[in-house]
Amino acid sequence: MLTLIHAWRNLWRNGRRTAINASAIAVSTAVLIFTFALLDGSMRAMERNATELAVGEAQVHAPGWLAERSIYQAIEAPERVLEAAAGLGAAAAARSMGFGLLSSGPRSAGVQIWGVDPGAEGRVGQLPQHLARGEWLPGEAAGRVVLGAGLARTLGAEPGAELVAVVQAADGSMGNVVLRVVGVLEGISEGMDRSVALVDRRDFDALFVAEGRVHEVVLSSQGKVEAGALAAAAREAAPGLDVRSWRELLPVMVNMLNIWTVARWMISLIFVVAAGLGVLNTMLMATFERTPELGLVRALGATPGRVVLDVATEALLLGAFSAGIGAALGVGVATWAQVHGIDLSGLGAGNLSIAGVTLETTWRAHLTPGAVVQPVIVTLGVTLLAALYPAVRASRLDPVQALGHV
Amino acid sequence: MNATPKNPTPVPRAEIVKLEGVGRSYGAGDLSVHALRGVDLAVRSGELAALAGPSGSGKSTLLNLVAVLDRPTVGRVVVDGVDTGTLSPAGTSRLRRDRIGFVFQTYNLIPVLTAFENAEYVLMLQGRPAAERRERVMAVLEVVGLAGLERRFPRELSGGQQQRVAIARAIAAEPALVLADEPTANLDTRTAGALLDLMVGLNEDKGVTFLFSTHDPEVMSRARRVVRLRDGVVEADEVRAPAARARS
Amino acid sequence: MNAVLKLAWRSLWRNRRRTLITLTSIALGLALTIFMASLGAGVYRQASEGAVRMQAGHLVVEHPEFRHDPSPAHALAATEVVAAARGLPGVETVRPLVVGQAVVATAAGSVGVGVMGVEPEAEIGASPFPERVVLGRYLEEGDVRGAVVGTALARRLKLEPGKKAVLTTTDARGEMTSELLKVVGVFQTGSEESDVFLVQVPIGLARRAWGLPEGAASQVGVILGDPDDLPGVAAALSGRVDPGVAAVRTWREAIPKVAAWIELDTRANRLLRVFVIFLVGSTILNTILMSVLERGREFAVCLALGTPPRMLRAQVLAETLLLAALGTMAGAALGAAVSGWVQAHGIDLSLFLSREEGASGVTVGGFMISPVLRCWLTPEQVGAHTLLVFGLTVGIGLYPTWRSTAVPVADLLRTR
Ligand SMILES: Nc1ncnc2c1ncn2[C@@H]1O[C@H](COP(=O)(O)OP(=O)(O)O)[C@@H](O)[C@H]1O
Ligand SMILES: [Mg+2]
Repeated sequence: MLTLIHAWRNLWRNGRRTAINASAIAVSTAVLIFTFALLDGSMRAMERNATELAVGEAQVHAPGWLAERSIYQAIEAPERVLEAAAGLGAAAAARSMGFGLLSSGPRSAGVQIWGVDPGAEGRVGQLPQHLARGEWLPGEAAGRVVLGAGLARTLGAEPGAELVAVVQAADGSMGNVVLRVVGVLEGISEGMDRSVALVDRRDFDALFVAEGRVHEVVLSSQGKVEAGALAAAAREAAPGLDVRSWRELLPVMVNMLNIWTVARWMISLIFVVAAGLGVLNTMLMATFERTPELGLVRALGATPGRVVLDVATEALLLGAFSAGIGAALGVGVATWAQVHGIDLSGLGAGNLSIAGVTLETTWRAHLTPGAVVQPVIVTLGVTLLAALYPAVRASRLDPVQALGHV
Repeated sequence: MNATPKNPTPVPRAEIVKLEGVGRSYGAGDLSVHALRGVDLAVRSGELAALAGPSGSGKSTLLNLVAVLDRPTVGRVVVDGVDTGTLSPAGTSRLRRDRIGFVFQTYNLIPVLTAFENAEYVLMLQGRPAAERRERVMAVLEVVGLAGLERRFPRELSGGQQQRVAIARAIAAEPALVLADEPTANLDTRTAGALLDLMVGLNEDKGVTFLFSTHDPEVMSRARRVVRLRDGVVEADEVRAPAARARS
Repeated sequence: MNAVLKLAWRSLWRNRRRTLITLTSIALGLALTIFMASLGAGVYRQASEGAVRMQAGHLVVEHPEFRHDPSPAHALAATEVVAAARGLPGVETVRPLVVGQAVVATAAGSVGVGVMGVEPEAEIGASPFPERVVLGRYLEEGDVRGAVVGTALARRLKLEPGKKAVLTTTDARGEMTSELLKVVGVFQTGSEESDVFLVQVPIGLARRAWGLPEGAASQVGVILGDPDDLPGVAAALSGRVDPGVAAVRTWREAIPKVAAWIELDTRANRLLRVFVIFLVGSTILNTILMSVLERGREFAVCLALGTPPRMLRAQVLAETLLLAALGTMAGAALGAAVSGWVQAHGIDLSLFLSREEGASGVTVGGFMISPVLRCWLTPEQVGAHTLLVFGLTVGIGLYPTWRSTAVPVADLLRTR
């Protein structure tokens, strides 16, 4: 304790030097925390995009459906899966899937037609929230359709327009129906944008003569259960079915996340070097400047070990104090950026809304314990090292040499 | 920097330093320290005057006031006929550069310059041509007994040698007055004696005016005039026959 | 002035350690920002180049209405445009394309696809598809019904080289048309979107399917040897095309998602670089400030000897300038060397990619990008960042410079 008090006093004896050191440590810690939180924020946004939109956390299909997507490969007894999901505390939505040609006057496009349960979709993902125009499906068999934005453009169809759907039905006949566009979805995925049309499952049944076939069940626990665990539980509850987590369903997205994880580490490394350099150089310089003083202490009879211990105590004290201030500052700024986000559209002259494409321009931080602990460990570690090296050197010098040291 | 210095005043016995009712206190209220209180003092050209007194009596404060490194709280300090209170910052620099040489207790040579360059420093500030600087510095270093050591850096010189460089630096530009704050305090007796010889010699042979402080009776005894300070007041001001030069 | 420089230079080297510490702060800081900037530029360049070559090209000439309404009716007579574009300097390849949507059916099912009608000989070297064929071969001149499809589509429709499929669509007059396709090859780009959605056929077949005349194209893509030539070629080409008949668009307008993503990420990168520069600046400030504070006594002596304050400040400023110059020179060299190395060798991140089938790539907005990160270093980047850090250092040095003559001379001379 006495050492601590002594160290504290000693720090304030050269107030300016201490203040410079403290600011270096605090600034580095704060910037690191803020940056880490921002990087985690973009990671999280990517992951949420993957799961919250159309894919959900896990999906159930009949074996072989994913490869062939045949209308005949339906899930046997889908109620069983829905019940199992309820038992796991996860929301579930059943989808029927087929292919067809949509046309509007001279324009036509081959599309995937999804028969969905409009209410359940809102519970497993955010499809209804991504309406660019118009409304979500009404929840009854009314011949309504929601289109991806790219598809709507191809067909020249906006809410209110009528489309003709031609499909090959399950009984081998050609199904043919007029659908009215009620909404246009945007910003989900390239594939959905370009080639997906959503109808009510009852309309799907009528059009495809599908007899209630379900091809896909989407599961989501809203993040309460880890996706892999959710898939495993569902697999157990529904033996004989093909159950996959979103990671297995979206290998390219997983690649993106992996690459982004590596990129995050590279950026973090650059920041750790920049921040560490700040602490290292400031602290190194400060301790080197103290060589004569340390020589004096040695001349007064202190052992080299004692000198090093004293310097280490001072450094730790200074580091803990300053890193604490920096952490508070960093957490404050990161929290602000988590709540309000940073608007990147203000950061350059170029137009971010290119040809009508709008991206989410708000960069939100996501503060995790790791984003606070790692920077504090880094700055504390560097502080200590940067103090110890010159201190050990000074303590080994002949006191007289150290005193005359410039 | 390019102004040519005035020639040393030919009028003998001119008052080069004059303090009138000078007081200097630090801090305010009950805690204030009165380093000097009501000092009247005049130093004439050609004098070798010692400021004597125990540690804390105000010697450094007085010298700093004369060098305009510090300002009096009350009273007037006139140096070379100029009231220092009226000097601009530029005028202050010029006064120090052209009229005053300063020798410090801890030498305070410029560490990155050689002995030659240190001695040359003030001449350089004055903007003298290189040839003149060289000639004068070599002569001065010869006088202080450092011929041959011109190229050494301060850290390669002993304390006594460093202080000789400091004196060379102080007198190279032929100032009207050389101030020295305890110039011998960091030197051993023998070296201190030699340094004093140098100062006395310069005073007698070249007419350099010295005002230096000391608390060493041995050193005091070598001065022709001794001004004794105690607790910030002039306790005694005695002029007497100087002790003989130790060596010629 | 000479004397000031001499003093400044010697002062720097007197406390070598202090100077070296400050120099590393400046140099490493600059090197880091140059590396970050060039790595970002490299990734964006790769991303845009990859996307551009999977789409039409750096420049697209198309019917003015095509962008809003990509119907086959909005095709243009391309022969003249193709000839005009081929004659321009900087143009590597000109690709007339017919693109449209259709349904491809086999006994295994039917799938909605995007069709790209191409001139096979123009594709080789220009687009990634010819090199990405994993089964069979790419289209050749003389193929009439040939088609190449992506791996995922092939799996879904049970297609392989030699198999047949039927393409159905509605032509420019709204009539339903069908064409028989004979698959000659299967490609795998790593982009899920292309592998599941794209079919390439000879342009003649596409013209027949959509009822377009000989020489018609929905788009004429122009691929440049150097993407930096874009503005010049765009201007030249615009001058040769009647704006009432055809619009010249850059890839930014043609693939807005990729362009917007790049723009957004560029800004994120810029923001992070601002943070790094902030850290670097604070380190420079700290080290310079500390060196000046430790030298108070030295300054006091100079002032006591009559050094004019302006001269002292000039000396300290000269020291800062020297530090800034040396530090930024070293930093620029280091940054350029590291970035140059990464540009030449790349950082291969494919180690971190899943080995699963169909997961062979990384995509942005549906377009594949390479998992090998490469820097793209330009003299402008190096110059701009060097100037920035130089200016920052000198700017930061102003405060300590001013401090140097504001020292309490008498107090500093008194203590030791
Ligand atoms: N900056 C200052 N602040 C407060 N007190 C001071 C300061 N400088 C000098 N003093 C005080 O003024 C008195 C005279 O000091 P000084 O002139 O240095 O004495 P000397 O040189 O004779 O030893 C001392 O009591 C000293 O403590
Ligand atoms: Mg004193």
